[in-house]
Amino acid sequence: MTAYWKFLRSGRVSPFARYPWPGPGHWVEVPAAVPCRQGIHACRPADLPYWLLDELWQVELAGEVVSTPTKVVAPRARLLARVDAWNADMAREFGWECVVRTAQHAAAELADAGLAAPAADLAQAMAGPPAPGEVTAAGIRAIQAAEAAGAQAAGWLSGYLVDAVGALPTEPVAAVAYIAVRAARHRSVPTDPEAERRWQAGWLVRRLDLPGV
Amino acid sequence: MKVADVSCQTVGGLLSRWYDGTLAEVEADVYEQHMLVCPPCQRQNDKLRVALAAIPAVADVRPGAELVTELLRYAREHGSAGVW
Repeated sequence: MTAYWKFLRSGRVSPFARYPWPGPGHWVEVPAAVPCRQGIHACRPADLPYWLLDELWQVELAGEVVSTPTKVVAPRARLLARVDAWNADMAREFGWECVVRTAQHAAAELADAGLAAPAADLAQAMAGPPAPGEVTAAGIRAIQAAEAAGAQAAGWLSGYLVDAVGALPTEPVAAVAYIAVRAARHRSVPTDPEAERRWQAGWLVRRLDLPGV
Repeated sequence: MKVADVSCQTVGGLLSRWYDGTLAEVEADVYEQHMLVCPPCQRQNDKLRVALAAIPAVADVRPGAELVTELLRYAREHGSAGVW
């Protein structure tokens, strides 16, 4: 059996229609699976970072499973077990890892623009245990240095870093992950646009030790 | 890209069609992923969901004869163009 996962809001509630899922083992069924219109949507491992929410469940799908670029859709599904490792602490850890990635992209862009000192400043701020205040201050200094040098992309990426740190305590972790993706895509050197999402999926699979992957 | 960078304004324009199920697959993906990262838009989504759910419970209200007569008189006097 192929393993699939589904993110839900707290209390087993679906993200958009607010459908209250029954407990594990109870099948939920629709007449047919039509992506984005009708059906039960679930994630393959690579899809996980696109749909981050409060609870993560392993699900079993039945009937024809339709694949789309960021999810699968099926006419029948049931929850199997909650992935307990995905909780508020793990979400915060993942969020901080996304901040680290954003900082790495910003530092690389600064270095490419010849701004070695602000790049080293960022690296220094990221070196120890998580210190959001220091990272924000270093990010603001990097923005100012980039603006003074006319290095537009370096300024943007440093701004994304400040945004990511600011979003960490107040916004959904999906937002922090998304900021990291935007930062990666705004590098001035050509990059694989899906590479950041792949990295995020790999982190989640590894850290959550998902069964069947 | 699997997810386009879109504004809240753009996503707001997709709201009704998302509920109608008439968005293209890529539009629906953009809409839903934006919801996950944007609590204000999520709140708008929830408000519409609640409103739509309440519609069937609203009584079938029909205008009284006097209101119909008055509306028809107004339409005759002012013409329909630009009124309706």
